[in-house]
Amino acid sequence: MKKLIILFILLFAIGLPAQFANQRSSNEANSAKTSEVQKDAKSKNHKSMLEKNTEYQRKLRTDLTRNMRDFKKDQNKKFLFIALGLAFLYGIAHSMGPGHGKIFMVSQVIGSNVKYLTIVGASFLFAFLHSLSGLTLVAILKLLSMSLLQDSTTFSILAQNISYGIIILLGLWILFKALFSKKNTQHTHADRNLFVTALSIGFVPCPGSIIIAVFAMKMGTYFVGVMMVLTMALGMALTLIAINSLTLFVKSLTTSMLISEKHITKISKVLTIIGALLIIGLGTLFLVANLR
Amino acid sequence: MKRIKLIIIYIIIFSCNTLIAHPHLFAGVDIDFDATKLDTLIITERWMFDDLTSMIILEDFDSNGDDEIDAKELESLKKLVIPGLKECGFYTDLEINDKKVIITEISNFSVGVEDIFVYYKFDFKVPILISDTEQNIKINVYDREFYTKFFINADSGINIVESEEIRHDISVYENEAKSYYFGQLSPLEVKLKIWKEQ
Repeated sequence: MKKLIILFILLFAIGLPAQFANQRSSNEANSAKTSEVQKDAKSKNHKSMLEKNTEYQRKLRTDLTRNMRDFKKDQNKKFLFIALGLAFLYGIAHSMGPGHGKIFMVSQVIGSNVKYLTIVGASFLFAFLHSLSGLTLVAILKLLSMSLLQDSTTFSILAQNISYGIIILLGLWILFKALFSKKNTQHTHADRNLFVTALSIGFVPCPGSIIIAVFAMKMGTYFVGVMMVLTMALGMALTLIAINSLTLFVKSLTTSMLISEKHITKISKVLTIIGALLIIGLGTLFLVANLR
Repeated sequence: MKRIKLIIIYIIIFSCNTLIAHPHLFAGVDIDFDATKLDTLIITERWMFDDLTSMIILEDFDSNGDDEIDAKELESLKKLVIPGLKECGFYTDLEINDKKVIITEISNFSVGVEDIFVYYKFDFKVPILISDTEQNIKINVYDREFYTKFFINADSGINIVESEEIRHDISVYENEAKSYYFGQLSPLEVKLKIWKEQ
């Protein structure tokens, strides 16, 4: 049975991104070759998962804007619902990338005893905060007549630096608690810490939602813009829940398969220390990279 | 065996989580080579942005709202955009006969709108002596930080004009030696071999 579960996880992990891989832009498929340029035949069949995901995101964005324009022109709600569906898919594909701070949440799930319900709550908190802060930033920049392209990037970098700072402090706090605290309050602390992480990385505005918000504003469909950003956030939240739950599931499986009952407390402490070090290390790495 | 399986699963989960990225801006790239002179090669790049990026550019710089970038608007765009692009070497990696050349100056920078898509277009000169010996020019356009994804239009976006005595060969391939972003991406490289017929 366990072997079957392992196989299922393996297939899921490989299969989900591969779904995106098979979607290819029709433009690319139909484009004609010029006789002058020789192309490496391998190029098109040898794309990394990341490249395939990128192409899929590009296609989603094109389809999304086309449907929104059609909705604006005809006021046919069918186009609106399609656009919302595409925004949801865009949220999923978009949130599969780094830069959304997911690695910090995963590190905590591995390193501490969080509950599934906490994962769901923290993922929703992060995704909606991340998207809505993008929306708020657009409103502020417009009110102050600032540049969306340049100033949103400047503000995002500043917010990222603050976020990494908080993450490093949180990692140090977890490490301190794991090393010196005698009370066994791991569960409560772990759940609270995951929410703190979600809050601190969530307030960094999501460039994806900034772009969608500007688009809606330009089209004069503000309310639809908010709906699209929220739908996108829902897609992000579900992806995060899936990734973090899968991590927790595999962690539990590993623990039960490889570690005996009497060693669990000791191992759990070691995992907490590793998780804290991972958070501190990654936070420092990202902060230094940003400051450089 | 169990341990190996679990290690594999961990690696896969981490790969899904951290190594699939998210560009926020997209641009299709056309590259034109002008080899009508024997002592200079002029390379023109045209970056055509996607719908959403185009809208942001227009929102920022099209102050009169006519969906065009006029001369005055172009000046304010240049002031804000060019320094950043210069810092990134215009996202262009150029090699002449296997020697890296850093692009510091460009000319004829223009911004246009085609249908609903905004494009940037600019030239740069490559000092090269076209003779009967083959000259090799390699060019990649990519953003190492992957904030912008550039797609070189290999199917129809690479063109050359040349004088009668000049011959060329163009190939496009993925250069894995220049892979970036955790080694997950390889830029498309355009290689131009150019020589003068004896």
